[in-house]
This record gives sequence, structure tokens and C-alpha cells, in this order.
Amino acid sequence: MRAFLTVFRVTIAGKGGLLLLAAAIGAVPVVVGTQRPELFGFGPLVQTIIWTGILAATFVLGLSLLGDELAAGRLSFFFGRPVPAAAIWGGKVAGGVVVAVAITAASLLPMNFWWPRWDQGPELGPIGLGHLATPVLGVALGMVAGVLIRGRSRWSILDGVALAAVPLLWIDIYAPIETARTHISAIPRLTERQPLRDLLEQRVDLVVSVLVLAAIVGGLAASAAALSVGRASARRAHAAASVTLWSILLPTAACVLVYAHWFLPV
Amino acid sequence: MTDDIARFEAVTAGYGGRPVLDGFDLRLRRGAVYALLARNGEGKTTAVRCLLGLEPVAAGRVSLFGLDPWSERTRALARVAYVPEEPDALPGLTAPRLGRTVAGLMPRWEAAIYSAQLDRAGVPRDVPFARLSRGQKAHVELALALASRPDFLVLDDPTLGLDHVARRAFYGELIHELVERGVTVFITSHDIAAIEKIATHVGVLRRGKLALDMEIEALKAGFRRVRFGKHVPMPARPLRVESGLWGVEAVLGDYQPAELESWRQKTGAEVAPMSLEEIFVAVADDKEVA
Repeated sequence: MRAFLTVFRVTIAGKGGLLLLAAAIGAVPVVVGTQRPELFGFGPLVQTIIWTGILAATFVLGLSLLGDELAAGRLSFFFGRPVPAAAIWGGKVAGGVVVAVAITAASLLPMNFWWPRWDQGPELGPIGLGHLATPVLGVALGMVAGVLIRGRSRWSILDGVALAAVPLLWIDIYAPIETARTHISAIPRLTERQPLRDLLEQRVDLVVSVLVLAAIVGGLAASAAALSVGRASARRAHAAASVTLWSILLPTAACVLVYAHWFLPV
Repeated sequence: MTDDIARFEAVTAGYGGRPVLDGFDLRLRRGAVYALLARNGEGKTTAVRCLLGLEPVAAGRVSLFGLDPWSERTRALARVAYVPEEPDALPGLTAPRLGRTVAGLMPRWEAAIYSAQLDRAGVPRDVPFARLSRGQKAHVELALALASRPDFLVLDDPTLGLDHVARRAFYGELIHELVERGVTVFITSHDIAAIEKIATHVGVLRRGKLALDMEIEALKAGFRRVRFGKHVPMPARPLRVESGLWGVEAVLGDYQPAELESWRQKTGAEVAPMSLEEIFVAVADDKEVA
């Protein structure tokens, strides 16, 4: 536990700059909205831009958590001491998630409190798993991407093939989701067809949730494998991360694809 | 209880299917200051990484305090400190913050030792590690290792890239600490002159195997450089022979004074002791015996 807390503290240290940057980005729509009130109508668009920015910022944060140290040979600072791989991984993930959540809050809160027509109202809205999933997703994918990019071993071939398959799978999964969404918007609320609408919404949510969850679990598991098997070796870490990530993501995507084609067109 | 701190038994290890260590055997006894010498790329760092559980072995066995450092790394490293070839401390942290960080990782951390080491080396307290000089970084790494109060200290070419003054200061600190506390040391280095002053045992790694493994006094007593005229048969089998216009120079690895004395008087041959550096060159050079 002591080692975990030490790694956690070191991971958080020095990330204050990222938080300031996030707060500055969060303040932009407030300042712009105050000067140009006609922009209040673009709340959902601004919201999308901010969420995309959060995903990008947390991804960059994730990149720095493992890849840099692995490439620079600095992981021996921990692995050359009696620190369990689980404490190193846990401390880095926990530290990364805390900073990522702080980035999310710093980016969103100014707009939620000061822009009156954010999402049809000044309140933040329901803080669900979705709000937490974005920063965690960014950190998890950034961590494993850091290992894959900085590892540069022959496993890059597997990464290339798998990465090429991802957009193809996504196009195949997205088509039935889009069709289902069209159906959902065509079904009026509070009619006898409401149950069908609810069923479709649940199934679309399930598909998206499973994909996001698989990406988070895949990213975290791959980074854990990179540390426990690779230790201070970038090449071995790359091999472990590659095999773990794609053996979780690709079968899950294939299952989701089958589900989306069979169960979404009700 | 065995007297061995660490042991390599027929170890084969390497990268990408290419063995760097190939049937490597070594025993590190308690209290020894063991220097492993080798040319570049011969496997010194691989041996250190296998010993610390940073690399797995393809064949054979490594043990550290009787434990397998790959599968039982955290237990095996509990009483070990390591100074790497390339400074690996977190670049954004100052020396005091690095100390506080390592205090959370090492069970026997002693802050007073760390502080005293930094004072002696004149390391500034307010400069991040990344901005320290190469020599200061080496001193911080050594201080982090020594303040962990290890029973076993592993140093992987710790003075690589340091100038002569910094190297001298580094080894001065190390000797000071060794005299104070008598820890077992495993060191790899190219700085053979400095090693000669602190090592009790020396091994030379060549082509993945231990080509030489002796106590330093026995090693220096056993090696002699002999110069004599051409066309004079020698009574002992030399390790290496070179000839030139001035005559013949041979290196003996098994010098027996009684055996050689009458021949020396008869031929007027010069027999001289060798420095560790000369012995290393004679053993590590890939040229075959003439």
C-alpha cells in the first residue's frame, strides 16, 4: 500500500499545468458566451467540442504515464526496487484517473455554472457513468497507446493489421446503430409504441456501453500486462500489451457487430 | 546457510533470440566486492538485469538471496540497491523529493544517510534531477542506493560518461561507504583502474561465458608479463604471445616463480607484474593465443 501511494503521489505531481490548461479551455465558452449571447443556442455543439477536448487531453495524459518512462528506460527506477508491478500499475492508473477527472471538472464546470442555456438549463445534468467513462477511456487508451508507439517492436505489424480492422468493424457496427436511432426519433413518446422506443434505446445504449467498456478494460489490461510482463523492457512490454489489447478488443467488437446486426433492427 | 548472495548457473539470456549470456556461471559470496569486466556488448548489463529480475533467462537459473529474482522479484530485492548505467530517477523531482519518494519504496530507508551523501557530493537541493550534471546525477543515484541500507549493492557501470574528477569522487564515496558498512557489491565497469582499488574478486566475461573468476590478489599474483629474446623456448604455456623487433612478450596466466626462475636467469628474461587493466586486455581480447 505504501508503494502504491508513493507511485500515486509521483504520478499526480507535476500535472498542475494540465489542470490549468483545462481550466483555461473551460473558461473560453464562458468568456465568449458573455460577449456574444447569441452563441448560447450552440450549447450542445460546444458541449461536444469540450468532451472531445477532454478525451484528447486525457489521452495525452495517458500517453505520458507509461510510454515515456518505458522508452527512456526510467521504469527501472521502480522495477529495480522491491515494488510490486501491481503497485506501479495501480498507482499510475489511479493517479492518471484522478488527474483526468480533475481535467474534466475544470473543463466543464465553468460552462455549467455560467452559461445559462447549456443543455437547456444551467445545471450539470445527471452525472452518470458516461461522464466518468470519458476521462477513464482517455487515460486507458493513452496508456496502452504510449506502450505501442514507444515500444516499436515487430508487434507493430499486429497493431497495424488490428488498427486497420477497427474502422471497418466500426463502420459495420455504426450502420445498424444509426438506423436504430432513426427509428427511435420516428417513434413518438407517450404512445402505445413507447415500449418499442425504450427497447431500441436500451439496445443502442448496450452496444455503445459494451464498446466503451471493452476499450477501457482492454486499455487497462494491456497496460497491466505491459508492466507485469515487460517490466523495464520496451519490446517485451509492447508484445504483452499488443496481445492483450487486441485479444480483448477484436473478439468483443466481433460479438457487438453480430449483436448489432441481429438485435438492433427490431 | 549458504554463503552465496547471488548465483548464476548455466544461464543463457539475450534479446530477440540472440543469446548474450551463454552458459554463464557465477557465484557472489557474502562480503565480496565483485567486479565483472567485459568489453562492450559482452553481456555485463544483461547479467545485471537478470540478477535484478528485469530480464528473464532463457535457460539456466539465477538466484538472489536464494530466491528467483524473476518470479519473486519483490522479496528478492528487499535488501538490494541498484545504481543503473543510465540515471533512471524521475527527471522532474529535486533530490529531496526523490529521497522522499524512495523512502516510500524501500523498507530500510535512512534519511540521514541520504542527506549526508548529498552534502558530501555538493548536490543542489532545489534543482530538478533532469537539470543536474552527469556527475551530480551519479551521486544522487548512489545516495539513493546507499540510504536504502542494502545488504547487496549492484552498480552497472555507474561512472559511464563521467570525467576523471567525477569518477574519482564517486569511487571515493563508494569506498567510504564500503569501509563503513561492509556491504556485498556487484559492480560492472570500464573504469578498471578504480575497480582495482576496491574489488576483492574479479570476473571477466567473454563470449557470454565467464573466462576468468578469481580473487584479485590471486589474480595479480598469477599473471606476469615476460619479455625475452626470440627463438628461446619457454618452460610455461603462455596465455598470449606477441613478437616484434624487440623480441617476444608473453602473458602468463599461471605464474609459478619456482618453475620460471632458473629459465629467467639463464635467458635474462624480464618478468613483471601486471595491472588489472593489462590482465583484462590479455583475457578479454578476442585474438587467439599465438
